[in-house]
Amino acid sequence: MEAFFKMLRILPDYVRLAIRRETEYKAGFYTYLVHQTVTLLIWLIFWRAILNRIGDFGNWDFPLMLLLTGFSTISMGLWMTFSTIWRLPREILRGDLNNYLIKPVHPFVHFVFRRLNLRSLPRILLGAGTITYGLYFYKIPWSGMSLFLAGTISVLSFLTAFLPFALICLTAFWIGRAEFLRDLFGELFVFQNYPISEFPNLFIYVFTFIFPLIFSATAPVLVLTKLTVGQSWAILALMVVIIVIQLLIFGFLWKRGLRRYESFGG
Amino acid sequence: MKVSAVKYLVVFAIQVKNLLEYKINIYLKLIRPIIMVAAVGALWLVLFKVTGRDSIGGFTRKSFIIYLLVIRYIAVFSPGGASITEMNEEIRTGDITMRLVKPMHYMVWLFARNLPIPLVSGIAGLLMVTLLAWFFGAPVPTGWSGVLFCLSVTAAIITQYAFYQGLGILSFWIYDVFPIERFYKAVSGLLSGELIPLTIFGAAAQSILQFLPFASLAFIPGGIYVGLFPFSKAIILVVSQFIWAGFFWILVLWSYNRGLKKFEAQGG
Repeated sequence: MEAFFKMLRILPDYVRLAIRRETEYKAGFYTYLVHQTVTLLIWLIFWRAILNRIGDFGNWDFPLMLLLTGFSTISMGLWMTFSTIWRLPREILRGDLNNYLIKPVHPFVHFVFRRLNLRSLPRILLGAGTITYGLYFYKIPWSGMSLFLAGTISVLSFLTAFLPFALICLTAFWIGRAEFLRDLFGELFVFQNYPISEFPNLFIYVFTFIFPLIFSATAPVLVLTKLTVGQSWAILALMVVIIVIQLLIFGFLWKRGLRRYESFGG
Repeated sequence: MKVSAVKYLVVFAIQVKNLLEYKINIYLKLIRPIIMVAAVGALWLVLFKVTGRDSIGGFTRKSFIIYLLVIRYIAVFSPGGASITEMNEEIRTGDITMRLVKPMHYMVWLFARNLPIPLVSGIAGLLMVTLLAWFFGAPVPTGWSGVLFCLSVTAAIITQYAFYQGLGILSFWIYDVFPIERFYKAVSGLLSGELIPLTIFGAAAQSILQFLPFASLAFIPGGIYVGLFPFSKAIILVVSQFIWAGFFWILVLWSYNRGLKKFEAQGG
């Protein structure tokens, strides 16, 4: 518990460092913002072009696709803020974890927070703006509770996507070159942008229990627009259980991996 | 002339040797596009199923999957991605001076250095696609269509490489070109037909988009492979591809010389 509070105390320092890094190269920050906006627009054009051609995608019409894109943008914004996880296999392989192990802070926390990518935060606002626009412009009925539950699932969904990815990166402790596995896994993130509920059951199970991307956008949209409050709470409860299991597995593998790393002398 | 070509061949040969040291990387690079196509293809297969249609935008299920595979391997073919990172790093750290003092052209050196991986994975990938297409009974270009397809792929790779070199050259003026690269990839993903074939757009948009340089990167070669265009139209499209490729290479070489002058004026 003491370690946890100690960690909380140093968080503002990490944020301050990240802000300083971003303000150093403003052009990069603004170009990234433009890129994020364009990416969002491209997904909207993508769905508009397809739906114009084929009509609704099962139970999903364009307003729902707009919400889907908004929620996936929020989730991706959060994920990208901690995208330094991408470097983990390389740092394990090169023995760079030694730098973190000698510091009086949890090495994984230090690794993740050391390079916060604050450039991605505007993406979260863009996603929220898209959802607000969709709800207002298309007059989609919603309630305060459904919005609260959808928002909570959307924010927490960052963990359900981040933790399996981190687990894949941890395999570098055993297999060395895990970059390929990581890149392959990264390709699956595109499913965040799809209405997974329209896919065959096998996909729904895989993206709920193995790589839980269904919580990133599909579940929040359904919670906001279609499901009852009881069903929504059940989804949130399931998600929390999945996160707890993921955390336990991650903690176990991190300790085992670190022991292996230390036994080889870093 | 012979001597100058040999030194780049030596660079190429060294890189091939390095590549063969890690053979597993080649196999893995071949698998990645299949996973990417599986991820995008899954959406389209569900779309076909949900709508109950036999074809969407002129594509059947089979031709769509083959189209996706072809354009993915063409993207793999281009040696550009790695060269942007390398160029950006060398220009912003000033390490490029070490290359410039040597008796070689920096851009040709970079090309020779980054060519082996895309060359091997691209050729192997396209052979694999052809085998898959043949196995599933999907269309495979033969005769003059085959020749046109090869020309179209060549033009696509030249144009793609020009785009990537152009982005790398921006490092002379911009510190971090990574966000611009991401921006370019997002825009070209949509306009090149990589994300969705251009036939999905309305007729007016499609007639404009297919003659833009982005269409050259994916839609035209992919479309020729699956027999989307009549032969006469395919010829016109391939000619337009080469015109764009020539235009962008002139632009790239001009920008490189300008950038180099700026770099030297600042003392390297």
